[in-house]
Parts: sequence; structure tokens; C-alpha cells
Amino acid sequence: MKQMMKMMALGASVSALAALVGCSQAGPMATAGEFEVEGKVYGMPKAEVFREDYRGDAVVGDTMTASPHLAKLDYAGNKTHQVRLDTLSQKVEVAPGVSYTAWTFGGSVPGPVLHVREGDRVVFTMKNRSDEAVLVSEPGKGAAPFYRQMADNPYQKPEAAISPMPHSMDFHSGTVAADDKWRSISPGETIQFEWVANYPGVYMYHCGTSSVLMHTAMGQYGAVVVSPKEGYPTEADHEYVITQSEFYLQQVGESYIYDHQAAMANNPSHVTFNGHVSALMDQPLRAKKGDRVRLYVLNAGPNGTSSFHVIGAIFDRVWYEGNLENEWRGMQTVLLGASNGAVMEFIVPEDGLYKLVDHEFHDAERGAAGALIAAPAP
Amino acid sequence: MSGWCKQWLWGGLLLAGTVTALAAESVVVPEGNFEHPVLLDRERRTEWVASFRVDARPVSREDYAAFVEAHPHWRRSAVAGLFHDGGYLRGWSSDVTPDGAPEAPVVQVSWYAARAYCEAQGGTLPSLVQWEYLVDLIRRLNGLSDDDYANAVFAWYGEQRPAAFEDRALGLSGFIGPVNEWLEDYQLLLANGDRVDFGGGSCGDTGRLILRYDSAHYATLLRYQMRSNHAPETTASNLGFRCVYP
Repeated sequence: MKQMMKMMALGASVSALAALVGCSQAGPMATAGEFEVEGKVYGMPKAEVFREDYRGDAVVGDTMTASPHLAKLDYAGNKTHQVRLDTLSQKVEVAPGVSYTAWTFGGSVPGPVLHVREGDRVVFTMKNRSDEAVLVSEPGKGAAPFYRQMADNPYQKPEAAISPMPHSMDFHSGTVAADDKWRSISPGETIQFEWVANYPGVYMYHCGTSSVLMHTAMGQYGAVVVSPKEGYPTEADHEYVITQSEFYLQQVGESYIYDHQAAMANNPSHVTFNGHVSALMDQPLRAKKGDRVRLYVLNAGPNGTSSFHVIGAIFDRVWYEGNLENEWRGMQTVLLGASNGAVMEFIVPEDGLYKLVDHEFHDAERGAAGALIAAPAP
Repeated sequence: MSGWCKQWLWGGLLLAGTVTALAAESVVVPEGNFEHPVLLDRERRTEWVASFRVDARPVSREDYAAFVEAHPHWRRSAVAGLFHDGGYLRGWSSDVTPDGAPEAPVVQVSWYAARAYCEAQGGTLPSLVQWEYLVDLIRRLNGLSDDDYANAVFAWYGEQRPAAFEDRALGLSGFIGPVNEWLEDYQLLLANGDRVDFGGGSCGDTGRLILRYDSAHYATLLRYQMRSNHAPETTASNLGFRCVYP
């Protein structure tokens, strides 16, 4: 406790100094009430819950993309990101003819990918719009790149749905008091809070509202990529984001609903890359012979592990959890527990077709497979 | 429609002269033992529930319109901001004109409003134990299997699809859709002796306190949790209520 007080005092004096020298750069610099440990910032301001008459785009942020895309960070140093990611219900397809009313962030499962740099600050806003039919196919001008990419490749065939329910947001990339920032909000409420990307990595975000198994199994998760401050030691030719997750659906009448017994038994009906059994088969990843491909892989679970493997390739480098300190070389398969992530690079050895699979083949058979095609540019 | 009107008239006659003469037909619920599906108090597994009367169906829009006619301070244009979240009776075309079918359950009402309505009928909102005891009775008296019950709950929370089953034993309707219902003590407070259990609240883990880890208990827990996350000012398009009487 004493140690902490000292740090807080230090943090306060650092920011006071910053103010004195007129440093106005937005970023990780600690402000009043915040403190630093080894350059990492803690002690965020309290979350605010309020009501707003907001009917705009459900996803706002320059670096919010639809999987498998990753936004380029076109700025130097650190910045503060204003990010909105509303939670809403949406009917989505996860396999041919298999659609269900999902609980989502932004209208897709997984939700959009957020890309920031280590040390960046995120001012996050989320409205619970589960009691509102939100059209995600007609984004406005200020909408995130996510929407353009969804419109170009609407593989989940999203349809507006209403399913009023309390929800919350838990960013694994943030270090905060969960009972404050990750608290549940009712339909119609908005929550706003901040976090600083203290550690680089490939992180999960998800709804933490009880019952958390059902909220995540219903589709409320996605990936945050925090790139290392100093960048990667390698030059990648292509960067792709893949989120693996399970669905537990049973057919009741005409439609599909959540199957709790199956979820408890860890017996998914579908296991997917990026939310559809054919997402990376119908739209395969692309590269050329000799390219270095960097994959950001998150296993969102909610229950299972992933033994991620690329058929015909060896991972030249793997940074487990996406942290450069955790470097592995020459990996054939990377084991990811529920909510683990990793950055994996491989060299495309020759022209051809490379399958991406969960080498736990019962999951691959249920959809956890995709393709990368290496061919000369047409 | 005519059925609803008849019930409405009958209910009105029944209560005429005592309180505001508007209420749904009510049903007498027999006393009995209630086994807590979620251990709100670890030391209390069962509870004796005394006989009570309950509205046979959720309060309808025309019921509620009559209430605001008689109690102008509960009209949308007059209601105190403290008592709702801004969405109170959203969709009504005037202070006293509901949207949708008159016999459909009233929605977009806060806990405060629901309590005021029941009080005006000489009743109260059901307690959590009373309401869950009713669900339990309906399941048992109608021979509803645990799986059918669980699937009905999950379908309702996922797709807002009301359960297809009917209660032929007591004559109650509207449980498990078309609305979630306000309860007097809807907050899920888990006790551990004199302390509040740390597993409650958001990001919590209360699954460990359900009596059995099967689908039916989990479905019930989901309802407990969902209710508990509402604020008393909350209004929603799937949130209504019914009343109970001594």
C-alpha cells in the first residue's frame, strides 16, 4: 500500500512536470489520480453510465476493422483513440442455413477488430442497443472501416433483431477494476470508460454479464491487437486476424437457439474461424511465394482450446500472447487456451494452397479450417 | 378480443367499490413449498409460500391506459423524471392512447410505475419467491419437461419467442414471454452469512449457487441474473408486470 502511494505521488508529479513544460501530446502520460509502474499507466478515472439519444453508427473508430483485416497505424508514437462499439442483437449465419439471433458487439460475430499501439489510450463508449433494431448494412459517413468491409463481404448475412438484455464489456487488454469498468448496463444505457494499452498482445474482449458462458456463446466477443511500441523485428508482407470460437446451437422448430447442455459439455455444433464455417474458404487469405505472413490469432473459446497449425508451413516466429518477450522459433502448432492469443509468422514456401486448421481435428471437422492461397499477382 | 373484454369486465366487477375498478381476472394460488433453484441464502433451501391471488395474465395496455386516466401524475407527460429512464410508455400516441393491441401486455414501464399500478389495484408486485413459485407450479401441474422448459427460456431470451406451452391447471398465461415481469424484490442479492457474496454482480459467477447444474436450473438462473441487472428506472420493450393480492 505504501509502495502504491509512492507510485501515485510519482505519477502525479510526472504529469505536473509534463504540464509545466507544455507537453500536450496525448498518450499514456499519467494524469491526476493515475500512477505509473515501469512506464505502464494505472488508476483510470471512474466509468460513467448515462443515457444519450444516440442513433448513429454502432462502430466508430479509424482502426476498427472486420476480420480478417487489420487497420494500419498511420501515426507515430502514441495517441488517444475515441472508440464506440455498441452492443446489439443481430441475426447472423454461422454455417449454410444455420442462423441464430446473436448477441453482438457491432453486429457481427466476432465483433470488430480494434488495433492500437502499446501505450495508446482508449476512450471507450458503448450503448446497450439490444432493444433497438439496428441496421448494420447502411453505415453513415463517420463509420469505422469495419462497415465497408462488412458490406463488401456480408458472409454472415446480418439482419436486425431485438433481444433486450443487460450487457457489459470486458477488455482483456485493459487493467482496471472490473466491478467499475466492466459493469453491466441495461438496454438504453451507455457506459464510457478509459484504459491504456499497457502490454502489447492479441487480446480478447467479451461481455462479462452473468451468465457469462451464455453471453459469450451467444456471440459477444472480439479481438484487440496491441502492436508493440518498438514494432516487430520483422517486415510482414501481409497481416491477418483470425478469431476462433465455438457455437452451441440446436434446432428448435424453424430456428436455432443456444444449447446449454452442449455448452456445459464442451460439445459445440460449430467451431469457426471469424464466425462462419466457410469464412476463410469462400474468401481465402492471399499471399505470394516468399512472402512473410503475420497472423494475429485469438482463441475466443468460450470453452475449447485451439491447436493452431498451417498445413505446409512452419511458424518462423511466434510471439505468444503477442508480446515480443515471449518469442518462439520453428513452431509447427501453437496451443491456445480459451482467450489466449498469439502473433504467428511464416514464410510462404511456394505457390499453392495452404490450409489453416485447428489440429484438434474434431474442431476442424466442425468448421475450424480456412485457406491461404499463394499465387503470383494476376 | 371478446374473451379479453369479458375478463376485463369481470375483473372490474369483482373489485368494484374497493379500489380503482380495473384489474385482470385473478387466480388463487395454493400454498406450498418452494425449493430455491438459486441459493440466495446458502442456509435456506426451501421456503413455505402462503396462498395468494395473482393476475391471470400480464397487465395489458388498456388496463394501464385506464390507470393513467385515473392517475394523471402517471401520464407520460407528467411523470417525474426520477421514476423512469426516459423511455416510459415510449410509442404511445398520446398520454392515454397505447400503441399496439389494447390487450397486449403493457411494456416500457419502470419498476416504480409497475408498483404504483399494483398499489392502485389494492395489490403489490409479486415477490421473487411468489413469481418463481408460480413458474415451478406451472411446470409441475402441466407436466412440462425440464428440457422443454429450458428451451422455452433460452428461446425467449434469444429470440423473444414466447413459450408455446399453456397452463391448463391454474389458468395463468404469459409466463416465459411475451414479457419479462417486474418483481418487488428483483435484485439478486446473494448472502453468505452476514456478508454479500462476491460472486454476484457483473462479471460474477453465480452459477455455483444453483441447486443442480442442469439446463432447467441454468435457464432459471439466467432469468434471475437478467432481472437483477435492471435499474428501477429501466424501461424496455419486453418488460411488463402483473400484480398479486393478499
